[in-house]
Amino acid sequence: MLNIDLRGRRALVAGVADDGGYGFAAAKALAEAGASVCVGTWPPALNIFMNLIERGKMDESRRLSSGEMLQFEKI
Amino acid sequence: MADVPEDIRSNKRYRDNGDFTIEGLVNRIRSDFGEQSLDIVIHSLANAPEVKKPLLETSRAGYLAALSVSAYSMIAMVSRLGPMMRSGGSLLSLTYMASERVIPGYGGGMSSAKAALESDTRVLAFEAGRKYGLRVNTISAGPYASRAASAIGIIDRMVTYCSVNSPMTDPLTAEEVGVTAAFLSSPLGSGITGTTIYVDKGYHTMGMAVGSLPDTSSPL
Repeated sequence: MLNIDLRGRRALVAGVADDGGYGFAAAKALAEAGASVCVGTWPPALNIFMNLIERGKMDESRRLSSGEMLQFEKI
Repeated sequence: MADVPEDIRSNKRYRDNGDFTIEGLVNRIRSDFGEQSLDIVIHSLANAPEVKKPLLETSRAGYLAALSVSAYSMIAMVSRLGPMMRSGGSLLSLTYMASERVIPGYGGGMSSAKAALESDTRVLAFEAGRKYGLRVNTISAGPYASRAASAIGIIDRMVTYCSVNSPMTDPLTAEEVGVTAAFLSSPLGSGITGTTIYVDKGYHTMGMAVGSLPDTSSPL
């Protein structure tokens, strides 16, 4: 079976501020493929983003197909 | 940080975040993970302060700001992050068809910035390919109502219009763009560089509208 295999690779996604955009979708797909993902966000949106994560508002969208949560190695 | 304008440096929305520049980001990645510690970079950001203004009414400052944030930022990222990346890695940005076809309402120089981004993708692919063994591509995604896109103001009508007029009429999902990004970033994409990949349900191929909305008045 031909799979996208990004295990052992580190990715940086610049431009993630919530779970609604293409940046988040890319970060999630990279994580699904096994990459460790760091995200960068626009400084004025950082607090909102951290709040969304900490309050669990993104738990649903962070759930990977494996059942694990998308974890950001670094924000 | 020396290049950062004073009003940004002292703005409370920025000042508590340490060094928020691309250089600061590079330093943090280096101290956290070491040299040659990155394989994949995705540039998913854009801004034009005058995006709601037609190009004809865009100020020089607004135009240059759009180009700086939305296109030069990719050059800066390839230039600063390229040396931190392992050979065979991939850099990817997101663009939009307004760079090559007229999309009324995508103003403030954003269309110009996307044209620059797509052209730069080709040149950066050559330069970063030869210098670092990296690939550079851009995904031209169809409209999707993200929070940032909603700032453009006409996004919902654009989503409906594209759906009605594309070869594939089911709505584009963010996941479809995400998995294309994962593919292009992976070794499976090793033969692809310098390219604009359309993830838009085929809308870009159309030369004639086949469906129309009840309200067909111009957004301008």
